[in-house]
Amino acid sequence: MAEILRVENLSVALRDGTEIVREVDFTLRAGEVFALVGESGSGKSVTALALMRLLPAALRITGGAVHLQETELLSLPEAQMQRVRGRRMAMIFQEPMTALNPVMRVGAQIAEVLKLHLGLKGRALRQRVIALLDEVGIPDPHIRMDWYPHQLSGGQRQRVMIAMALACEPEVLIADEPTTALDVTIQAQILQQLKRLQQRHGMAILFITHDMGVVAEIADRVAVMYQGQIVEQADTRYFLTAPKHPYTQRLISNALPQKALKPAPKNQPLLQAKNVRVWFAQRKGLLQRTIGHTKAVDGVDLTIRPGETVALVGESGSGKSTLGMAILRLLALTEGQLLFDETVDLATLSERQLRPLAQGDSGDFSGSLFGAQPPYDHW
Amino acid sequence: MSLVVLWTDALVWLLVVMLTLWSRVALRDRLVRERWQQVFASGMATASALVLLAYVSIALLDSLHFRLADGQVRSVLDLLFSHLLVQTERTYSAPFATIEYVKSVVQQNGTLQQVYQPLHHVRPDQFWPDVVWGLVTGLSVTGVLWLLRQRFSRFFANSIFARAPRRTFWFTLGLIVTMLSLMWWLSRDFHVFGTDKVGNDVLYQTLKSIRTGVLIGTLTTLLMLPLAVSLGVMAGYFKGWVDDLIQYLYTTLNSIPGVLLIAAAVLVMQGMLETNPHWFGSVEERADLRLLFLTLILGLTSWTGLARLLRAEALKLSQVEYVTAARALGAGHGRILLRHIVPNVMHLVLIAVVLDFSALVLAEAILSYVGVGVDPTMNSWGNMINAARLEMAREPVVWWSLTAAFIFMSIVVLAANLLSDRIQQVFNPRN
Amino acid sequence: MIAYLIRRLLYALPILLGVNLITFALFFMVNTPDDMARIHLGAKQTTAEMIQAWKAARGYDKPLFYNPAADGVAALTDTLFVQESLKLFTFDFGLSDSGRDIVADIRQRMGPSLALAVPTFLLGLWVNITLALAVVLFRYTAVDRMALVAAVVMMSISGLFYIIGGQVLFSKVLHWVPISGYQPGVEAWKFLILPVLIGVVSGIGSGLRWYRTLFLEEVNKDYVRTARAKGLSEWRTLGRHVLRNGLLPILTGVVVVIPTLFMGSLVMESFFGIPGLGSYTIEAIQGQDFAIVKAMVFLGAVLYIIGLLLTDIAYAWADPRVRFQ
Repeated sequence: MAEILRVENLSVALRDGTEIVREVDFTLRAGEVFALVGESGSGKSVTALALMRLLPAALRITGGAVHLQETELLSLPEAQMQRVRGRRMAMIFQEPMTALNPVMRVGAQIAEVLKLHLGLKGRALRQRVIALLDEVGIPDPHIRMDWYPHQLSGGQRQRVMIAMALACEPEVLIADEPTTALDVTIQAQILQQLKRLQQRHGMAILFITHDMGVVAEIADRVAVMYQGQIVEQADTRYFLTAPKHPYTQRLISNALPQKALKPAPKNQPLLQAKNVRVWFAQRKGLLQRTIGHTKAVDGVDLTIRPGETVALVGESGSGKSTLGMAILRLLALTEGQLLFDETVDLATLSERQLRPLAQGDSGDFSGSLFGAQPPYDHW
Repeated sequence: MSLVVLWTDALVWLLVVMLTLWSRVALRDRLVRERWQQVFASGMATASALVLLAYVSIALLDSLHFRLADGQVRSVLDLLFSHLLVQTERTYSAPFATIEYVKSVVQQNGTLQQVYQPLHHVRPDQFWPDVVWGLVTGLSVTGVLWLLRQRFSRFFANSIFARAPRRTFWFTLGLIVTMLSLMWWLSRDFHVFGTDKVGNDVLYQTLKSIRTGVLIGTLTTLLMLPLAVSLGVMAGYFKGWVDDLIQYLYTTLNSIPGVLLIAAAVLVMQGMLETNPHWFGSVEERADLRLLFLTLILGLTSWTGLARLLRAEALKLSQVEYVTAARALGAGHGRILLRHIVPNVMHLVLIAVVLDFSALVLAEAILSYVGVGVDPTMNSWGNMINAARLEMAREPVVWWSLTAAFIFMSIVVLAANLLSDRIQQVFNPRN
Repeated sequence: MIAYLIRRLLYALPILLGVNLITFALFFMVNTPDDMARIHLGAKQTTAEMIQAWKAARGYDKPLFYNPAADGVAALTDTLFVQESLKLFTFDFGLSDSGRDIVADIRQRMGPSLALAVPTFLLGLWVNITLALAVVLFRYTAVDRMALVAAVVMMSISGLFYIIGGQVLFSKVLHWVPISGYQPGVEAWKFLILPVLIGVVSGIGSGLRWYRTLFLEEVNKDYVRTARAKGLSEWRTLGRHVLRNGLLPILTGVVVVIPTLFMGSLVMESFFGIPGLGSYTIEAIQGQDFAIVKAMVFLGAVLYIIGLLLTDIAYAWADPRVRFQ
């Protein structure tokens, strides 16, 4: 297959000279998905941004060459590089929540690329925007194109980003962890969508991820980055079954579940939540009357035994944290019981009565919920 | 000779004592000390701080009052520059001039003639000796301090200036000391900034104005801070009706145009002073009381801005996870407010204090122009500008009063602005 | 949204009532009408009769809150508080202490005030935003640093110096424009151009710094990187994406002052002899005319509250995230 993009000895450093990316070499062939994997901080995103010449001010390219077909990108004047971005080489980012302009309609954001690079106008422009939204799987595209990003779900926003990137049929698409911020079910949909689109348009995709499952699903070839260097490159098949570099071996074995499942303990429950409801009133109108409720937690039963760790799993917005806050009495319960030690009902205690209990044994509820105090504590 | 304590004198010295105590306590914390050292690691901040220190020192010298044997009330600064009080002329004269600015009619040899009359208290032949003496005094004072620096080295290593660029520190210090000593020596034989309409020395006026400016800038903040911090933080933390009430309070105060509210209050205050002449014994005391009331009024009307800022910050902090965690761990409201909220908004308070200082110095000029500022008999930059403005129509222009006020005022405001910039840079948690 | 606005309007009532209470307390309780009369009639040689006559002529001889001499409802309404303070709600400002009709005065002086304030406001906004965007284009370079230093120096200089310096330079030395005065109609521009320019220049320091901070905050956001990845030039990225997002916080600070432009600028108007509401207010303050000051305080508060309301509307209009709630 033909080579589309060839990266030679690319190096990126901080202004003080610390190297972030060291002499990275790889090639992208037409119609393939090339995955760049590595843990956070390994330099994979920086590599991607360097290819687009969109590095933040603190970083700069210190050496190497990037050939897109016959064009060498690093020596291109900025004005010509602008004609490459979005047209011949496009990029989608990790955070769909923040990557779109919040005060611009999504249709207009897609139209902007088409106007800029292809000079489309009026009816043709509108038609093309609708077609693109349709192609990436947005329902009712002629209506949604006039929506603002915040009206769309995370998955839909990422689809809009993909539509924007595909608008000018680029030769190379760089996808920087495009599914990491999404829930698992949406992740799979987006991946399939990307694959379909790639087969239809025949572009090359540089896919950046830290997720081995995603690699297995989408990539044709893989390169592993570690501390700013590529330590191994291989076809996906060989890579997953017979990794050579010790770091790669660790990476792949860590991705698989390690421990055997533990049997649940059988002793007396320490905390029993019974039929817990947390409803938030929806108020409206002049007098702020309650017109309905948002049922964040609706009739949940949960039992925790001493020494046990109970994992509460769910999509974002499913009510996990609300339940945790309610158990800690940081939110008021609408209904339900919180039996502590089978005797005390936490739900009925006053804040003052709660205090001795709280000092005795909380804090290990949900570690990720509470951040550490910042260092500028007092002065 | 007996000590006279004016109201504002007492308050400004109280402020000095409080600030010293607070800084001793606060700087005991290593983290805090390091942050301050980082602030003054910048040459600009060090120079600004020294300039501010010079202004404050002059203001403090001018805040120690004595009653002399002849019944006059004078400050230490007055005693230092006592020659300026007696060396008055008849009318306007330009800086370093030897003759009056306007011709006057005199009888000479039986005919009336228009001539420039010579000034009484100017000795042109003393210019170079004064310059030499000024330089010698200034440089030798700096030199002595510099030679003594070894003795203070331990103090320096622990002070907030530990990381200050040495060269900038000594250069600025030397410059300030030398400028002051040059000014002192030259003022003995010249009117460095000229004289005003009735022949008073303008340098003396602008030096006296320093106290007015510094006092308005600091005392107002002293009065405003407790209100702003307690109300702002409480509104943001407790929310609910407490928030509603405090928001109502500051929206109401805010909705009255600032100058008008101050003007209305000052008008009322003037009326009170006029109907209660027994409150003060002398013109100085009357002017001082007016200054005190003015800072009080400015304090009561200016807490809203900072309170609003602190409310928003406290609101944000009360949602932050470590505060939720503290509540989950059973901490009470008072403890959370004092341990977690207030310390984390102190950087905002600090920046506001330094920024407000410069805003208040500028506001004094405007208020005095409008007629609701300090007492007209008091020396202040606002009164100087106001008086100079009335002479604008004069041809050629009398420019020196304005220039003197401009230089002295802009320097102190610029220093405060630069310092607050640097503090903002260091203390802003986002950087 | 409509319900929200009505709620905000109702919320304005207690605020205006509070404003009235403050001014009433200041002007009629801390300082009694007797004191006012004494100030106006001159210090010592005033007799009790003269004071009584002065008060009666202005209706200041009524009791504060309760009038036992009147019958029924009038016992509550024929009082200083209702007549002098609550009456303001009907925009009936009555006569000034020197006997002029305040509403007529305000109507007549509004025009010159607006003629000065509106161009200053619009031109100032445009200049500051353009400069700030230009500085952000050169962010973290020597140009940026120099602009910042210049801005700090500019904002450290009192506005009075800009005015006096401008008058001396352009009027006294260069004789380009008259030093002060006003003339209605087309000729007004001759008198307005200098104050407008001075107003704009004296605002550059703080405006540039504020807007620069806002734009810099936006410039590092993800959507700006997306815009660049599309192939937009830096200037277009700033002008199309950063500007529109940066304008949101600017709106909150700026819209609120629009209604208060009516009040004019105290200092500018009195320095340049423009017969607007600003100089009217200053004259009232200097002449200790409490009736006018009271009316202007109330008017200012009303305009400020309208400004707050407009801010809400403008914000909802400009920010789709608020609009679609």
